[in-house]
Amino acid sequence: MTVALFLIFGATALASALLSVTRKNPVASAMWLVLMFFGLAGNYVLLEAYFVAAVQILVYAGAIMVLFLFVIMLLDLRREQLESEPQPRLPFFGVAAAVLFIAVAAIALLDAVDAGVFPDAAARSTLELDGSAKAIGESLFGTWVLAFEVTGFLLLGAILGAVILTKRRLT
Amino acid sequence: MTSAFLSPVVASGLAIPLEWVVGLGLALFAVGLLGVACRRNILIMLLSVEIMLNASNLVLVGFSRVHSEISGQVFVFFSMVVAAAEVAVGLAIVIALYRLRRSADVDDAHDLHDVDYGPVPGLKLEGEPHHHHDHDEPEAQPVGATGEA
Amino acid sequence: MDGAFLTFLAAKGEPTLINTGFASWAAWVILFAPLLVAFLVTAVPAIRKANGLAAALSISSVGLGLVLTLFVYFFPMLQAGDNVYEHIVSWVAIGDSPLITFGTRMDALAVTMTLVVTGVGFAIFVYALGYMKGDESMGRFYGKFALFVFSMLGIVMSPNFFQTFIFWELVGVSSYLLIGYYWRKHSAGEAAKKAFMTNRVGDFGFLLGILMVWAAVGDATGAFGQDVYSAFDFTVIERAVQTLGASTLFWDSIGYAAIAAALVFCGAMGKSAQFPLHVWLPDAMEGPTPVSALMHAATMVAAGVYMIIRCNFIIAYAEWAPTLICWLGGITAFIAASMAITQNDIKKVLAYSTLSQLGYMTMALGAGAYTAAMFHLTTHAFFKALLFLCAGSVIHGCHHEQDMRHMGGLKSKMPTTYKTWFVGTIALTALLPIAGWWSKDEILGATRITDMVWGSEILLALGVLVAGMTAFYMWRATYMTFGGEYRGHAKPHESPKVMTMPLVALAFFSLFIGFIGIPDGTFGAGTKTNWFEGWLHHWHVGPYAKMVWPLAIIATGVALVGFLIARKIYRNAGGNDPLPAKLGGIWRLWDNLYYVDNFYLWLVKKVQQGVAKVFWFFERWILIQAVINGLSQTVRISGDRVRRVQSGRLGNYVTSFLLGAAVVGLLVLLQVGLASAGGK
Repeated sequence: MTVALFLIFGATALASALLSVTRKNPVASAMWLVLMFFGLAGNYVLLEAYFVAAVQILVYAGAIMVLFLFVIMLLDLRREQLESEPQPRLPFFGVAAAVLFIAVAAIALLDAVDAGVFPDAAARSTLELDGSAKAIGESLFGTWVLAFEVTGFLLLGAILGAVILTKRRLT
Repeated sequence: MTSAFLSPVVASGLAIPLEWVVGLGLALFAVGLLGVACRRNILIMLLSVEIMLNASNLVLVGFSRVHSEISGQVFVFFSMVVAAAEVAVGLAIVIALYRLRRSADVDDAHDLHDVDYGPVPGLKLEGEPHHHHDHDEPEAQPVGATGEA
Repeated sequence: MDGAFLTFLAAKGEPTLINTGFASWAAWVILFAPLLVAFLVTAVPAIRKANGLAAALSISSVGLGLVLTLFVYFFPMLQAGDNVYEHIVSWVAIGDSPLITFGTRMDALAVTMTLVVTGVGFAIFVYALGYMKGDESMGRFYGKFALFVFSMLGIVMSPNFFQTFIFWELVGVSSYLLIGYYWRKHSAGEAAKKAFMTNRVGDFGFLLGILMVWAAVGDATGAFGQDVYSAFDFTVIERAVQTLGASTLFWDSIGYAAIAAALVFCGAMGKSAQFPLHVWLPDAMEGPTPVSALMHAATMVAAGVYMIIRCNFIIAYAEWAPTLICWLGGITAFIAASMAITQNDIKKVLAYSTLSQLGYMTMALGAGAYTAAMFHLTTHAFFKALLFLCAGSVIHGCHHEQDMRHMGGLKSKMPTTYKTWFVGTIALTALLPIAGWWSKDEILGATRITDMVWGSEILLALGVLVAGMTAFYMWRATYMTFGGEYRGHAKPHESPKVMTMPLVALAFFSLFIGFIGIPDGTFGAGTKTNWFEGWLHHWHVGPYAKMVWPLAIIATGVALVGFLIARKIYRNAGGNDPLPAKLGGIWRLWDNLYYVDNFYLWLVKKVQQGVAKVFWFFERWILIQAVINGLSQTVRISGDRVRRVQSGRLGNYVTSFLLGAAVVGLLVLLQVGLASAGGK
């Protein structure tokens, strides 16, 4: 059951990701991406990362995507502009480099499977994990508190940067 | 520990083989990569970056479960923060760019390209006899080589 | 560093090295007084401009040296036995062991030479007061003169090869300055350059020779480390040679010792103007006559002979090197004497005469008769200085006329000059048993008995022949200058007292200096034969020359024949020289100096310029055009190509990034893959 659900969610996420990158209209892309976020959130639940799953929905689907759509609307792209992009461009070297990179990663994955890097079911079955908000909170504000504070500054910097970039008159 | 709420539906997350999780992450990453490489609409390129980030998040969660280590999920949390920051700045750049160019096509913006000065001018090579005038000639000769008389 | 005091017994004759006492510090004063004067004259314009003050300072510095040297000479400890006063300090050291030392060394040889340099030098310095009178830059002259004496004394007192080389070069510089003293004259500048460059050729060989000796001795000194000495020091080299033997010490490869000795001799070849580096000496006559006198008698040309005597231990057993030296000396003696016959310039006659006499000394060096060479050097210093000063007096009296064809009849007009010249000529031509007679015959005797030289019989015959030629050209000059009627246009007059007094003093010494070498009655080989050789016996190698009376008589007879021929030809010749017509082609050969200068000129024009052209071609086309311009052009063009990578297009950057990431991934994969394959 779990595995079957994983496959269903995974297939959904993959398919919507593919549809997302192939849409001409950015609004459609964004919508398909929302579906991908939900698929992944389902997989997080299956992997017992309940808090992460919730944050995925809230932050990605709820906040980031809304920001995207907001900007798209702010730009007010006309249809001809949206459609102006010809067939998805397939630059030979770009695609070749991407394919090469993916091939390397895939070979590495298969190599790792062959080498027995991934633990089998028997080895995995004894492990337990609490993916609750409490457990993450303890880790976040305990072990990783310094990193947490730094991310706060990072966000602050990003906000300031965004404000300056959009306010400044570029000529 | 499987949540009591979901226990009727799902067994432990450990039932899912890790290589499948990593494989799915790789596939999503490949989609995002090709999106970045092939699309020219800057908004969709940003979305593709989000796909890649999510692919890596998935792998982190998978490893976190298999190793029973909560830090992996904390990293996903950080990754989301970074993604949020990136989107904020990225979209700000998109807006600024759009104001300037009235276009969302990245290929319309290539101002980092240097100014084309045209072809490189040829060097005037030193010591070529035909470049010298007559009164320069003796300097190019060893002393006394010509005037032995 | 003052750890340099030590007592050291050398193997041969066991001279005691003493580093304290009067002689050690006197040496420093003798050496540096002229330098101080030279510095003052050069650096303080007030002294330089006050000609009289500069002259007085220079003369007193040399005079002080003479007095102190006399004190050192009569200092009882030096007289008794073979004591050596050596005061050295470490100059450059590696760790605790000195690499280069600096110091003064006063032994019998150095004292003898110092006496000659300061004694003859003093006379010439005084004489120059008269000769240079009226010259507005006399201060500059005396400054350079003092520097010259300082340089020479540095060589004389040097305890090591390195210091010798430094002062060797200083002598070169001083001679350059003095030969080019009349720098407004083009020929003087050219002569100065010629002297300097010709000496550079010899000095280069000298430096190589020094380094070869240093390398060999430095290898060996591990066996008997002298903790305050370096491998440049004569004491150490001598000890090494005598302890280990030249053949084992310089064992490295066949001929190492001979090559090293020959290269060291190269230095002497340059300074003492031996064939084929003799060409600079006659041209050096461009300097003022006192300079010629000093250079030819006591300082520059003596340096080469002195240096060889100083380091005779590396020459004496060096396989074919003595033969080479002896033959070069014989050849020089002969060609110089023949060239002297054709000269009409009174100073040039004396210049070639000096060359010829130096050839004699070099013959003695090759034959191993180092004391004989030193003896001849000493006597020659006096009578040659005398002759040069007489020539200077004549030139002065004839208002700077140097051509003997425009002289004549000066016997009555310049009586003192004539009398002293007469003494000098007798001493040089060895007609009577004064000065040169004793020393030259000792050299001939040494050539006869030596077993170090191949073909010494030929050289002996050559030496006797040269004695005749010497008599011929000297008496030719005497008759042309002093005999007959005056043929010039000036009003010749006797020189002032300040010039004639040194002449008389030098004539006095020329008369009597030879008697230090009178045989003391023990004529057998293997023992010292006279007082001078006894005094310098430490520097003698091989058997002592017997005083061979028949040989001396033959040589004197040949000289007499030369004199008589000269008398017959030139007594009533007036200004006309009948010899060119009689000798024909040989005269032209001699008059053109055996075409050696022409050969060098040809060498420079054709060979050197040919080589220069090759290098010019290399520099112009290969170095500049191909390498430098080619490189810059390559950079420019490739830069233009690579510039296009910076397209400013995001897609291209993404592509490059992915490609780089893929390559890194591939590399990591290969590494890990290899590791896992190995691990399995």
